[in-house]
Amino acid sequence: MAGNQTSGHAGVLRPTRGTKISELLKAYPDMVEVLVRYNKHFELLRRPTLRKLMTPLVTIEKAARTAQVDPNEMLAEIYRAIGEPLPPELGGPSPAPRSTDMSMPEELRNLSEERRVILDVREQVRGGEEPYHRIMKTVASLRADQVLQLCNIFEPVPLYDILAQRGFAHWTERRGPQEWWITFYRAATPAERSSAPSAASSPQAPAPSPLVVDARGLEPPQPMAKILETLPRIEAGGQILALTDRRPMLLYPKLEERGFAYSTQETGNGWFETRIWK
Amino acid sequence: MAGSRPGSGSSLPARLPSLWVPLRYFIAAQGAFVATLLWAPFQVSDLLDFYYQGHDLALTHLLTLGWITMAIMGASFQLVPVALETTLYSERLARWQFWIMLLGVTAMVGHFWIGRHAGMAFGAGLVLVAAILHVINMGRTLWKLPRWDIVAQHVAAALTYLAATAVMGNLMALDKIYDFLGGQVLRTIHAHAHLAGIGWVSMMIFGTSYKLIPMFSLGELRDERLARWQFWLLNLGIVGLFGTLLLQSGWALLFALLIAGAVGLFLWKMREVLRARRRPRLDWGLRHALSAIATLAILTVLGLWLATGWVWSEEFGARLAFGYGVLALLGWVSVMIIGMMYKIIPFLVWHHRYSDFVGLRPVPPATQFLGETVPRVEFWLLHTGIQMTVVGLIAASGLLVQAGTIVLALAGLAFALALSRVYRHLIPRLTPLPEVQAART
Repeated sequence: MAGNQTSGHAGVLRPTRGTKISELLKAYPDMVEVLVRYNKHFELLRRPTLRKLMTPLVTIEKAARTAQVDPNEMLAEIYRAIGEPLPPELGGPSPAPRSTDMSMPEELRNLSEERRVILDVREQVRGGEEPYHRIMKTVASLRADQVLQLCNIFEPVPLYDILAQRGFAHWTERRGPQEWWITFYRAATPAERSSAPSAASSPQAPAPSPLVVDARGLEPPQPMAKILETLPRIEAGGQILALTDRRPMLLYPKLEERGFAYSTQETGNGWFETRIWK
Repeated sequence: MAGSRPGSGSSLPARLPSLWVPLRYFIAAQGAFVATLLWAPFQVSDLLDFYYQGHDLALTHLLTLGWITMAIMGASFQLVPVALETTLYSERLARWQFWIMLLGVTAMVGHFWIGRHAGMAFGAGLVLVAAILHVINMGRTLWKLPRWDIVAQHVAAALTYLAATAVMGNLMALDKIYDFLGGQVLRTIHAHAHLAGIGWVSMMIFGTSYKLIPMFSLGELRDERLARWQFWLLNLGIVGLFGTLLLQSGWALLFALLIAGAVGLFLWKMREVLRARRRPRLDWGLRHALSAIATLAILTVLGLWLATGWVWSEEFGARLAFGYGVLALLGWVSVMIIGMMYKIIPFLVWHHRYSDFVGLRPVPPATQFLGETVPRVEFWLLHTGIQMTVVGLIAASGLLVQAGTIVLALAGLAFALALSRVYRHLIPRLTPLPEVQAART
């Protein structure tokens, strides 16, 4: 049995897989709601006596196993709910400074309603659906002067990188335990800033959407075949975003032979994202 | 680009070795397996006799070195980029190793058969050289890894036991000429067999299963902790069992229990992986693997029984030990290797023949190469033959062993037929590609 490895500093509990549920609920009583979502048996935790009796014995890892979910996934969800950045082993926080604590960028001040496109994916995510396609579709439909305001139950860190490659900067606000608002906007370059202070007057040709190839849930060599079959559909300046369960080691030589560049990133959610471009 | 995460892309240049590096091992291994099964029906009287004699040893080494070790060596080379995410250290070394191994096994088996110790020792020496080359090649490959996961740990340990088994085998071979081990042949053969079967072969199968079973069943190994416990228990168990078998000590039971504990943890992890799998249907490759794992459970019980020494006669104990050995080599190891081959050989062949055409022309999927009927027939023939032979050996029933080995020979032919259907894709004349079509309409 693993010991309690909870780490913390300055009085803030930073839960780990070994953290007892009792400690977690003591620090964050609302976490019952998160646990209940995983397994209805955790409803029992709402009763104070049972909570007292059971929780000192059960770690987050054990609770995750009871609920038959990946402990890291449950832990990541707990971090998102308490609004703390994910520890590195769970895919965050990024070493680069994030804009979470920054004040609102100049570009976003005094935005008119018609320049905001709001997309709330909270219900979809809670329902276990993957909102990626919906988000990318919305991004593709943005006018040059519009910004996307995305509302999610957690901070969608991998999305930052994907949209940054398409010229979008972001500004993140956490308004509640499961309410993250991220504004994606086309960042003006310093030159544009000096010569054209108005965002509306600096139209930028939108990069084509990455072609998403979801090759997860396939046994070898099907993921490689599926990705290679999509290569001829990459348009000039475009790219493929391939999702795979494993690092696609055998794909790389094939991509090199066909003159494609690639970059793979582990998402921390149990799959890999490989961007492929000419 | 405020707030965007810096890209942490990784593009390690891991490459699959060229086709013939693993394939020549696989073809030699399959040839040895089919030859063993076709040979066995003619050896029934030898099989029913005491197992420590030339003809049985020839047959056993054809199976253990020609089939099992060759197959694992070939699979190791192929799986390096996928399972360890790196490139094989040297393809040239792997080619040299193959020919030395082939010559060594042929010399060993042939000289066991005709009872010439010097020639057998020469063959064993060549096998030792091949084993050392394998350890060097795989060791250098492992050395490059930034960290050793559970698969790499198992492979590293298995390589150590391979070297130890080969060294011990050579000492036993030299002992036949110079007689310096004090005549304790049964002790040494039991220790040698367990070091090979558990330390080298089962260690390797356990390790690769943690990668391959989730990969092919679309399951997931979520937590490595129990697997790590399994790893250390198995190591402790095999080292202890080796020593106690050699010394004929009663403590062998304790180490057998540790090994049984490791097997239990392995079975538990495999159960977890398979329960979490996303594809409910099991193909014939996975059915072989699962039936092998089920046989491992039975084998472990038999092994514990033998370790207690509670048998009603020495003669029955010897028959039980031989039945246990045959069940281990065929029911556990061979069935597992066949299962893995049914997955990795279609992949290897597909990759070599078709991967360059994907996206440019229509190509057949690798999953269709094997078909359904022949592997199904082979599966049932093999399991029926194994059960009949093992029960026949333990019960000393010549009729059952004769019938069982004939069924096994038929299973061997079905196995050869199943694989020939895969290999024919390497010959473009037999499997022409559809006419060139535009990939996009």
